[in-house]
Amino acid sequence: MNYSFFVRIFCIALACFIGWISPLHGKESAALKGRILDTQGQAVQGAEVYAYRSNKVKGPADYISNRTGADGIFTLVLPPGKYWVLGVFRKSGAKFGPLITGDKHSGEPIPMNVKAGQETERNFTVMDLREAARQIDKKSEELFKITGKILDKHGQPLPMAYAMAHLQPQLGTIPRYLSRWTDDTGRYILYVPRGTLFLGAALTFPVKNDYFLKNRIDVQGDMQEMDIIVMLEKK
Amino acid sequence: MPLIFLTFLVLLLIPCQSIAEVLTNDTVWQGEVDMKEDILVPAGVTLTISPHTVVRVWPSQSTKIDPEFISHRTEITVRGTLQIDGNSKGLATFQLGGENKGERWAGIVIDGGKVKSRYCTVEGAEAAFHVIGGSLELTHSRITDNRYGMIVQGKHGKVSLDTVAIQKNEYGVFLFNGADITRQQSEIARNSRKDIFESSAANNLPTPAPFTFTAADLTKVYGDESLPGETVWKGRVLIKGQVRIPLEGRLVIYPGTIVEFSKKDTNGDGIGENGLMIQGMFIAKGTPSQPILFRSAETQRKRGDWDAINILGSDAAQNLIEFCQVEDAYRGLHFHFSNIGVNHAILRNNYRGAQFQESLVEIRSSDFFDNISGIQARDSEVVFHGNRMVNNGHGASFFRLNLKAANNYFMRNRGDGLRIREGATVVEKNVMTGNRFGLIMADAVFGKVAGNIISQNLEGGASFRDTDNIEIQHNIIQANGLNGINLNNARSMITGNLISENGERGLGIIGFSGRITQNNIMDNGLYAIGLDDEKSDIDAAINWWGDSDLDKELFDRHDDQSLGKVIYEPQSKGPVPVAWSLPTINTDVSWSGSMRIADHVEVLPDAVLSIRPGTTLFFSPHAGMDIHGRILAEGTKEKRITFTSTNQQGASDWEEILLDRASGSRFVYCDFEYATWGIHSHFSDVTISYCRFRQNDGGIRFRSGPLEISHSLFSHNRIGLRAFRGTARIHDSIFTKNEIGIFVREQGDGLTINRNNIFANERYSIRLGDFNKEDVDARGNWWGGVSPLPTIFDGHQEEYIGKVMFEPYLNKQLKLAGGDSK
Repeated sequence: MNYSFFVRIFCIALACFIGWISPLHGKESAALKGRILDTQGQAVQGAEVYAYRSNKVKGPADYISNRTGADGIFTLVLPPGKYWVLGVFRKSGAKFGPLITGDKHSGEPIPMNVKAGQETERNFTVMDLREAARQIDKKSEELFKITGKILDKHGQPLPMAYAMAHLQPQLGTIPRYLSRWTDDTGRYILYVPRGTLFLGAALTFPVKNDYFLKNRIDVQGDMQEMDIIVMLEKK
Repeated sequence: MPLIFLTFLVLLLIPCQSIAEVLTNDTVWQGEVDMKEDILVPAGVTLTISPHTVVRVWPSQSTKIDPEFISHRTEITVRGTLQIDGNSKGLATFQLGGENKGERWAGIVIDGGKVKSRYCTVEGAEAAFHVIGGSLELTHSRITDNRYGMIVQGKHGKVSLDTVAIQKNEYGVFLFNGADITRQQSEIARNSRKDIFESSAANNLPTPAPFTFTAADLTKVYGDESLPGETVWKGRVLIKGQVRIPLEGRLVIYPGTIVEFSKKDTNGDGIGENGLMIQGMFIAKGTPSQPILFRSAETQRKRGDWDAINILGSDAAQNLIEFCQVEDAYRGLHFHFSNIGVNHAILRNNYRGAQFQESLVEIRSSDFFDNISGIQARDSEVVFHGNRMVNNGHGASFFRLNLKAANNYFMRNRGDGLRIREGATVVEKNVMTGNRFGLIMADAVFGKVAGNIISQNLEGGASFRDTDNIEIQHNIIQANGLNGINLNNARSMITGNLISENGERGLGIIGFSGRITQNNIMDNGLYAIGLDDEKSDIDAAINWWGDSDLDKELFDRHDDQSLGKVIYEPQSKGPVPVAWSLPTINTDVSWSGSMRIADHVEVLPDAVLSIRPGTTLFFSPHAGMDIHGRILAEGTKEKRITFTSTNQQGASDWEEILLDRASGSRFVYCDFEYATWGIHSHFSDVTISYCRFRQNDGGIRFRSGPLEISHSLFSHNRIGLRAFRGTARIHDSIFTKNEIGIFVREQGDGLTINRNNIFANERYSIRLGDFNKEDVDARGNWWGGVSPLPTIFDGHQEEYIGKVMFEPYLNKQLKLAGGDSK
């Protein structure tokens, strides 16, 4: 008998004692219930919910729900506490390993607190991994793109300039919306919200507070070819 | 009671060891250990494995890689000390645990730490030992049933083996970039694919440089604070906590500002916790002359001294990070759900340069170097343009992005240059060179990989696994260590590529559906195409195979009845024109077959462009080349190299080959036609022999030199040769039927023009320019059987210019082949 055998006996004995006084013993568990759906709102059969005790979701899940039936309903009974939870559908039926083509999941794990004796309802939408990529559009719907060139007085593109937009024509502060420095093409992209703005460009940052933005624009959607002429020579 | 009984039964089966992620104290493992998470042994900490210990490593559930780790697989990373103390009666064993279904664990990664191991077995890993730096002493051990037995990178790692068997792995030992191991009584043998492989990246790859900064006075010190409203930073700012910018707040950092973070590490994991947490807006707008610096405030700055610039949920406008240098962080830049523009930034010496998800991100003209990983991103829309990823552990890893990656350089990264998983991606006009793997693409659909140079990667060029509808076109995939392209369950159209000079296979195929057509596939080490477990036939018609003996250079059913056939007929009758799409060449590249050059191409200093015998270059109008490195265009008598135009109309169809300080360049058996100038050389030592210059506006013009021009033909040009303050030896060549054979504009006393046939030029055989005061040595030539005086314009006609010294001259024509033969 080696050292590890005695360690194991001790662990078992300790666990028996802990089992006797376990917080679960005689106390209510928590339950998480809901449905697993696809992006069309249809139930996904054969999916599961994984719950982790920490946000380190690289290893096997601490708790796994039943596999959903045709109705997509899952139930997960677990001790009360905080978990990080996600929905997963594995085409192969495996329980381990990175997701592969054909699998679906609900994205980043969602932190949830589940309380003793309570049933928490939560649905999960699992996404086909390929479709998700083609639909990615991360621009806020509240913002529009204004594009164009920054030019000198001879119509030549100005590098190391930037576009700016503000709610008033006269700057008393650093403009609200700024583009990055232009390159040799003089092209800029400015992200702005809907509404009336005043547009201009500068060659130095920060620009002086008494700078005057000449171009008034009414932004109702994306705007192209909004060239800005700076009355300076290109050096 | 039943609960206790069940607990008793269950616990009989469960090992008692608990595993932490980052070891903060010296730790001993013994008995049976289930390792389900990565383990990091940081500097100053020792992990000891006792005899009889069995470590079962569970495969990872996820493809996430935390910044301090190397692989998405479960790994042990050693930056401190790992002591594996097996003995002859009780081995220490590392093996796969869990329900592995073919997955592997990463292995033991030695990243600057020390591993001393005896009587140990390691199995089931991607690489049993991966030495990036530090030392490994292995005695009386066995490494078996891994994908790689051992990988050693660079000269920084010291590895010694004593009575070690590395057997029955797929690959035994891979040594990269000058790595070496010492061994005695050790065997590296009977590994299924390869026992030992060595490969090194070229030394001439450029290295980015950091910005320089001017010291600044301390203007502000912050602890844990929230800054609502508008805050402006300038001068030097010291952060001793976490500074938060709430929603509606904005932090603006002026050019020239230095932001320093002191190290606070409350949990002892070696990673600093101070940083910026921004939910409002962030504008850090530096300039080239006044960049902005974010770094550790510690005296001995180390990677991970501070946390990150975190930007979360900020998409009310575009946040800007321009001309900024971010270093010594855990994650230099970290975004979620934000709109970010990164422009001319430097991210260096961080665990991870940038990490983001669910964001709209543009990263342009920025350098990522010396990070453990350059970038990791997921679920975002990304424009990635004009950046350099150099000398990182891994370059860029993109997961499920809508991505446009163009004009980037991925160089000398120890793992992958560019890894793409899932997503819709366009990868165009990038250079991937000197990495372990150039490009890895998995599970991606509807993408395009076009116009890239994927060359001289140490192990593999490009790998496509479980991909669908990817166009792979007009790439140069050459001189990679083993295979140029690996295809594993891939569906693609592969067309217009040059796949050449790869160490083993041009294309290695495990599973492929699609067409491989109209490529130039030639001069690969073992096979042009090699099938491996691929049972279906491969459609590879209408390719150009160069001089390949396809009986020997296709590995298919003819070699192994279990494989499919490579159907290569009909073959292309000549090289397929491959479009060259990059404006610069900064690494050694070779061209062969047929190349189309649509614009100006610059060969940067230290890069060598080799043009193989038989190659034809077709230049579009206004296209040409600027050589600042070297060009070696060495054809043969049977296979000349041709520089010509796409239009094939006449002189000045295309520009010129300009050499500027391109010493060591050589042109042998080359033909130049329809150029403005065939060769235009400044301050370069160039050799030109057996070449033909015909139907150009000018054949060669040069300044300085020295040039050696021999055994060449200049005919039907407006000017055959033009010299300006040049030094050259011109001999055994023919100048005929030009408007002017040789024009010496100025300072012609550096020229020696001997043993040539110079005759029947329309206006002059030799004309000296109005500013040429010196005499020109043109003795011993044949001038068409008559005195050359009437065909020379020199001081005989204009007093103040020099004279062509042509006497004595030859009465018999020299037998010269004029660029044809020795």
